[in-house]
Amino acid sequence: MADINFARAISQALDEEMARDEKVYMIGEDVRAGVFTAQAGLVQKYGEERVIDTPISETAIAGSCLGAAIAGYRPVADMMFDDFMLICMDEMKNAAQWRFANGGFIKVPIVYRLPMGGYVGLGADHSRAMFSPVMHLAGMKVVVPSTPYDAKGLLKTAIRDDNPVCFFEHRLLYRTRGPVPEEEYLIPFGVADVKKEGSDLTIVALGYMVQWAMELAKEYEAKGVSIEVIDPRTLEPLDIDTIVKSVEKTGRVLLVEEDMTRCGATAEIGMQIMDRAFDSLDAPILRVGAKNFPIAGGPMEKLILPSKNDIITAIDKLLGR
Amino acid sequence: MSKVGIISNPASGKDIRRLIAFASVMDNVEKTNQIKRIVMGIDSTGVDEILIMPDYYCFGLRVVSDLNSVRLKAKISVLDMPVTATMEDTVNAAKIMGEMGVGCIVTLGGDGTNRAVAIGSRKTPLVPLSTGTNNVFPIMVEATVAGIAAGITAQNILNGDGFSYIHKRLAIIKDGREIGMALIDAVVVDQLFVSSRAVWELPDVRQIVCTRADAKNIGLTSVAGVLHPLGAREAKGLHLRIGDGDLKVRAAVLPGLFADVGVQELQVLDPGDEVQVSLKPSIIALDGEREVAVQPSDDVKIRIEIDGPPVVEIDKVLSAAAAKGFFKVKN
Amino acid sequence: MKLERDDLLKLYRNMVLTRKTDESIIDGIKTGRVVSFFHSGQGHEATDVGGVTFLRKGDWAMAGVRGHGVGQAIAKGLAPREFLAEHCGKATGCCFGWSGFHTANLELGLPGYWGTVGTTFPITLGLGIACKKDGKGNVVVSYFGDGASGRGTLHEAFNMTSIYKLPVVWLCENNMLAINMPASEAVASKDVADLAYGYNMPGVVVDGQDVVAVAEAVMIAVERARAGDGPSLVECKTFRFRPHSEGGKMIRGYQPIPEEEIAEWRSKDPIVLFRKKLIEQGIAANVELDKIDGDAAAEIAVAEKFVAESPLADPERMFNSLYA
Ligand SMILES: Cc1ncc(C[n+]2csc(CCOP(=O)(O)OP(=O)(O)O)c2C)c(N)n1
Repeated sequence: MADINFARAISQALDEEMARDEKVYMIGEDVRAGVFTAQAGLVQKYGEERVIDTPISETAIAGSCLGAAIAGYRPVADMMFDDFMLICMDEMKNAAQWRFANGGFIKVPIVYRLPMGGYVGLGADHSRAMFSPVMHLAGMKVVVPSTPYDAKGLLKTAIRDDNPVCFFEHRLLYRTRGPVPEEEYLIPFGVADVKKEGSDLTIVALGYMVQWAMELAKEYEAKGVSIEVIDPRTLEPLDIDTIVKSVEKTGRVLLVEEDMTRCGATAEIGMQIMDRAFDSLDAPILRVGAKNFPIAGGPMEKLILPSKNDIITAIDKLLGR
Repeated sequence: MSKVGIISNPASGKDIRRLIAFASVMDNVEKTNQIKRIVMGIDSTGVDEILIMPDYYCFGLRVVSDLNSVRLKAKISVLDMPVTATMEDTVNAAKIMGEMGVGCIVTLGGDGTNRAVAIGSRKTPLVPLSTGTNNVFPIMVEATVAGIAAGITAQNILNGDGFSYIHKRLAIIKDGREIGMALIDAVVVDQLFVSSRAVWELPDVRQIVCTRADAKNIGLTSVAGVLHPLGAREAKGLHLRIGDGDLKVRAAVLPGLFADVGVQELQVLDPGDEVQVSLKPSIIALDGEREVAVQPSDDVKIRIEIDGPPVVEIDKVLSAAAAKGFFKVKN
Repeated sequence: MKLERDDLLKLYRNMVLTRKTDESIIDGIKTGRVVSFFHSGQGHEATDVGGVTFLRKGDWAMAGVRGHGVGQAIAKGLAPREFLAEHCGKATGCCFGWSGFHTANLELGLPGYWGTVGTTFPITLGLGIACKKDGKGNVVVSYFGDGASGRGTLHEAFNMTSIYKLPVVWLCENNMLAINMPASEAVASKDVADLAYGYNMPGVVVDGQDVVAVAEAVMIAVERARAGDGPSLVECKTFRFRPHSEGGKMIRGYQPIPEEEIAEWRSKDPIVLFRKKLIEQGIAANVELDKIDGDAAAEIAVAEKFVAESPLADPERMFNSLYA
């Protein structure tokens, strides 16, 4: 196993899948150069026919993926910022629903890659984490990897999936490193990863927040508190069983995401826990997420986005400390 | 080896005259179409080679690829030269075509485009095709026909002269050195900058020097045209001083835009005559576009010469070729 | 409109002040004063300033993404310190310091900034509808890039401004690049101006490095718009002197742009070109222009000090500003 960074893991996945299946192609703004350098070198290898650079035309990018997918191709679209996916929400909704609404026999294999997230100071127009809007599109799968290993395995699965997939990539993760096997592997959707086992408290964290959860779990370990960290990895399908099992063990659960808590992914997860494991809870479910505000620019964003301190406060509250 | 060059300016027809007045619009799609028709016309005459100027819109590449399935007898290619997307391209292309010995250049553009061609080459005969209503030098004629005339000219099929004439020219002389030229008119305006190039504010115009004057033309030469018509082939020029006075004429200075212009003096010029630019600082507009800045210390004169580019007389070429039996097909 | 000496010097001053403000932000990025990213507008000063300087109070200047609208804001009368303060996260910024990099001032006719390329098209349409309803003869000058012309919102807004004959001047700053994407590969008509005729409005091309040319063309279009003749499109050919975003590279497609070519672009510096003309045409002497330069530099120095001494953005104010 070699240590590689998240960006490299993504470009390896793209490379391997493009080599394996010539129906796979990339499309988006500046995909040749790669704005977040996640795909460097692919145009040289596969040519401009399979690494299609576009004008600034999100509607056309997202909608064309649907057309090409219906016709048997497997487009991977790079939306550059998940904020911009709102421009083409109709196209993405159509992609999600096309199969169902047309008799259930059409395959729509699309990956919408969605670089995302705050903590870079890029203001209200470039900083959102928008899991819940796409969770609301029935027919759309939703993937939120947190490590290079997961990113590569999940992206390969996403490309091979016959349904549209939203694939969120947090910009701050691109440079993070982790072990990735040399040999090929896939990670199935709907299987949460228990990143760290523990017995006192469960943290379910999404994307970049998994890193913070892991760091804090280690800090608490030293203080004698055993925290279990679960990364659902895919929000649709959601592996609620693994989460429920953990809650049954620990009796306490904290849900952490970068998106606004109102109608956020954690609102959904929390409610499902209530349905399935209410009797196991020793304390109310707590959530940490962004305040219900647009993201401010520069350092002021920290007042709106969740912080490590917010997580610590919530952990302490759950533990009654 | 007979060769014909084609120079088309993708930027022509986009200046602010479309905002100030109602100047015509010919888009690059139609220009591309016209070039195809020119090529077909040239090819029908049996010319060996057709050369197209490269440009940012890529007329040449488009035409070559669109005509891919048409079997042309002539070899067709795009000149190998850098593209700067400025007037320099036209000057350069005309120069290179001249040096390559093309027998005729078809130009597609306005007076300004032809001026640039003439800066690059004054020897090669021109078939100037108009792309708008706002011009004097180029002619309104179907592109196919222009191509035929160019092909016949380039191959020297007609014996004798009389199928083209040398156009007049205005040289702009600063401190004894030629710094610019015009084919139709040089107009001194009370302005300080070349900026958006067009001239439309008549109160600013002080002097008009022109090689031709015809009431049926649009532009500042029409001011002279309504007073003293002057043909393209007459060995004379005109100089008008503009300003308040007894004599006033109504002229269409831009398509659809009229102005009442006071003429203080009209002077007929002979070849070699020089007109002093009296207003300083000022701008001289050449063939309708503000071009030369005259600074307070400059000594600038405008001289009329009969040494411009040869212009092909399309009608004469075609009728002489017909009379010669050129269009008859042998069985 | 005939530009008098004072007008010409105003254009010069606005361009210089724009450049110096831009430079101050870049310096602030290097030294860590600036809290967000920056998309420098250097090279665009003639178009940014030329299209706005002679608008009147009540007219709107809608900036595109480039330069975060610095030139338009200054030409509309925004003090550079407010622009700088905003970028430094200070409470004295034009958006009170929590936007990161946005510019807005309704008094001055700056409707706000947004980084999503092409959002400005329908917003401009709305401003145009408002101007027409107001009936005061006000207009909107709306900037966008060659890249933005790829957005579908352009179609909807161009069409509607034209059918409603709205007082709008669409101003395309064609710098031939959208991040790394060359316009030659992204704009089918090559000249964005050509799009206009499909929408039944005039479209013209001017030299975007020539501030007087831009001002002349835009003001004619503005007069047309005021007179009720509807929208027009002015395409200014210009150059982006710096990378898309500070810290980035000059790339076209996926290859670096040759140094010589960048040098060639920079040789068309609109400020240098205009200065030269002002002197050659005897409009201003070197010393006068030096004084304008010096005054601008001094203004920026004072502004930087002001910003340094300003308090950080106020969280309470921020949290109270979500709803009106
Ligand atoms: C809708 C949208 N898509 C993509 C981007 C990313 N982006 C920011 S600026 C830019 C290029 C804009 O190019 P252009 O309109 O030509 O303006 P320029 O930056 O050249 O001034 C892109 C693609 C964005 N901000 N918004």
